[in-house]
Amino acid sequence: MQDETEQQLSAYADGELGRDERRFLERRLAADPALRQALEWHYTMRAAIRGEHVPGVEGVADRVRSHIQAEPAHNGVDDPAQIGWRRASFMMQPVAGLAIAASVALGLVVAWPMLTAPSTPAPTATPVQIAAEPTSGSLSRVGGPSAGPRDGAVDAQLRRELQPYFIDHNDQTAARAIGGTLESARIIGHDRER
Amino acid sequence: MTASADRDGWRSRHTGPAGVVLLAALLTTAAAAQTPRSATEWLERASEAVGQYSFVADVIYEQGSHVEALRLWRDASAAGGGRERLMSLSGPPREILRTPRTTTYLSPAASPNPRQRYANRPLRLPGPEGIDRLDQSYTLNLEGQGRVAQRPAQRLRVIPRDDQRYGYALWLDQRTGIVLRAEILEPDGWAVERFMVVELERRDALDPALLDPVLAEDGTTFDRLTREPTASDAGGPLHGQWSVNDLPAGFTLQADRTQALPGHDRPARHVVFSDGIASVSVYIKQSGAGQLLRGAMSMGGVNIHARVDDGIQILVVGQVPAATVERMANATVRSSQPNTTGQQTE
Repeated sequence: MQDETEQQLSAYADGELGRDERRFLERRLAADPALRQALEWHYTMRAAIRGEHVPGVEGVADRVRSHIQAEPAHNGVDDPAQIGWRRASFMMQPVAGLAIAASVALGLVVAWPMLTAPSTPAPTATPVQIAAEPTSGSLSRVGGPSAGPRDGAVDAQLRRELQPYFIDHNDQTAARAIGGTLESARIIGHDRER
Repeated sequence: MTASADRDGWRSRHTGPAGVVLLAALLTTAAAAQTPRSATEWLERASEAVGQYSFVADVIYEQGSHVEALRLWRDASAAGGGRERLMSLSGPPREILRTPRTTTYLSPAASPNPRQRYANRPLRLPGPEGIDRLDQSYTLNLEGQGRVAQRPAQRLRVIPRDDQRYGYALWLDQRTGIVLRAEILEPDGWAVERFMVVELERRDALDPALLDPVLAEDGTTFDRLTREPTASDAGGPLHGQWSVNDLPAGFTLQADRTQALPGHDRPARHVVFSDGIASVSVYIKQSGAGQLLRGAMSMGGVNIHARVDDGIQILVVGQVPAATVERMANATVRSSQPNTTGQQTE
């Protein structure tokens, strides 16, 4: 079931979901913060794969929802949250349209300013700035809250000491079950701190 | 009668509607026989896929709050083994180039780039023997169908039999077995690391130029580090009086060698253990002028535990839970010395 929802979210982000399925999913999105967070992930992935950073994309779904909820309801029939998401969906239609030609990620660059300040020009895309740094303690979970700049970070000298072990281990175990690419991704993803 | 005439005679006798039907039936049977029916067979297919298919893939890698977008070129048709190139699509441009004998790592010269040693290491997954060994540590389950990179995928769950290792959720391309998505899971099902192909384009063969580095050709200064195995790799183990006792079940010795470490003036003994999927490295070296490492740390998808014992730096790195690297660090002891878990060294 979880995978089915993932597929629906992916299709939604790609603008590939049918009308009825889309409406059903939007009702669920309106009521489920976790689902909105999962949708954000899909948008972020599409932005990341294009090497783009969309300022403010983090929390976009919640901000859309807040924006809509701040407006008075147009009628008393539907739940305000549902109205909000229906409208959000309408405003994100350009996103879905672009998705057919390119990707939703690119569309978000255009769509987000529309949602907040229609007259604001689209921000210039800049590279995603995400750095993996060694920290004290055990691994954090995917999608977990970002640590503060110094939260748990080890000092620079310690980092230099750890780095050779880290890369050596990943390089020498790269023939394992994920085919080596995961280990390479760890190395290449790690080499970000400056 | 020549062989050619014989074949022609066979063809004349067997072509026709009945022959076509027979041929179709045989092909259908063959195709069905090739479809994996168990989790183990799917994993074997994934293992074989690494050396069979050439492709270009866009990949997302996540760990914690970090996300990386990467592009992977893999050429399985290259003479002498596969070649691949992995390049970052976001942030500072970086590349990793792999051949069966070398790994080349390109990164901006401005970075505090470690001087890295690269080993002779095949580009392949564990063979059938290695996969069979997984039974000791994991349960393999098929979990229905999925969809990744707009391709139908077979979902496979690798469930650990104890809490000494992570679990894995894999999505394998239905047609080829290529791993399209992999998640490394804590016991409660939360992912600590995720790797996902978002676009896959198969090629019969890759243009060799696509496997050449593009960095360092645009006027920017890059460090290029390429190394092949050195004599020190094959040397006997240093600090031979140290051993790792109290190994978690299923882990066996994969390598034990003396090697140089970048930035370190003294060689280290490097011992590698694996349970078939997860690998753990134990480094043993004389502590030098640098900072001594102690305690639990993590970095880009691996847990680390370090301790110092009588002037010896012991550091354990692995894609296993923090408790496991700590256990193995504490179990690394000098001969005839009881380890910190209380086990007497034999």
